[in-house]
Amino acid sequence: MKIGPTVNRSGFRTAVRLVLGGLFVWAAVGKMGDPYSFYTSILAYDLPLPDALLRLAGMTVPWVELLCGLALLANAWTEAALGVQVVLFGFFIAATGQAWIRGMNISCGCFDLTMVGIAHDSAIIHFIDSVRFAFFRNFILLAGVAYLFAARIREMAHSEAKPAAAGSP
Amino acid sequence: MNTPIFRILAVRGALIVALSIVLGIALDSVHTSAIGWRQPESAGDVGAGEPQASNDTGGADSVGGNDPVGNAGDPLDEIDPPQSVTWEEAEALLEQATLVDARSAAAYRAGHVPGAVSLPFAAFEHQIAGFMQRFDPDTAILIVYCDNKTCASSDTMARILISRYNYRNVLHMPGGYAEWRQKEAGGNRPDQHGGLPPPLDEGDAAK
Repeated sequence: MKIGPTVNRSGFRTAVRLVLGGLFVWAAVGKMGDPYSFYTSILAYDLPLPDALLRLAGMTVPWVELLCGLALLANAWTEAALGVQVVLFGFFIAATGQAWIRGMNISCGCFDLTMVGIAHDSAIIHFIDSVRFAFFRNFILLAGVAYLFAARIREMAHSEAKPAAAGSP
Repeated sequence: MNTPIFRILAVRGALIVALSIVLGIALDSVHTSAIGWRQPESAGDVGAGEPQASNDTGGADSVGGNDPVGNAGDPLDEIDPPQSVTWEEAEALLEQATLVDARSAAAYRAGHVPGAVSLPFAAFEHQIAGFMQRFDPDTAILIVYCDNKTCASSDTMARILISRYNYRNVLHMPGGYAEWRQKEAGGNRPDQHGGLPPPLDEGDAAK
């Protein structure tokens, strides 16, 4: 009786994990091709942080995304990858949210859409690359990451509790 | 409660971040489009008014709402797109034309195409009056750029300059600062003037 829903849920989680993993790898590769452009995209947010920290973020964030994406795709260290992504998306939401509130019309620099053949001046780029869209997209991605993270922690807690409950023979 | 779980989580998470920092710094040290660690050297030439310019974007009236820079869905979409040029084409026009950097003031200070004037998109409304005094809509030839192919602010700004401020000769350089860096700066340095000709009126637009 329980097998159907359990399998469905597990299949759904696998699908979400693979989609998120692929997205993170895509986002990372686009940024790694031109780190300086990513750094200037960060500057455009006009965040009240030291320049050295922004430079470090420009160098590090693509690698965080890549390693987390690969971990999700490989289904290894998923709890750590998801935990790091939850924190990262918290920052992304804060950055895009403040930019939106301040009325800044800037490119979020999140995904290189030209990699999938979308022209730079197309209407869809104007929409997808807007800070408003980025803000909502980050919320959706955070929801996906948080969902998997919670499920993974539950799973780990469950498997840890099992042997303890079973006791020694 | 489950301390081992959270210990595993913290240790592995820290390892991912630490490895990312190491790899990020290592890649940046050899990348042709490196970020580097050097601070911009000549922020002073941007002009006294500019540092505030990006902060001015905090004003709710600067870009949001119904201002000229504002939002999608307005008649700007109906205007013919400005003619696009590559960096090589723009370079050939530089004797007559002025490059307009639509990125933030901070990005401009960190590096810009030599000779470009800063007109941050987010502070457009505050700065357009001064800009128009410097650059006559009837005679000026403007080439607007932003970060790279993925940014939209230069295209939108070019359309606004044409449609609402009656600039007759506005071009758009979609490759943006990234294209110039790739072709001219070629590496790890904060570009102010490079070995290229001195700026025309850097920072004047910000005043």
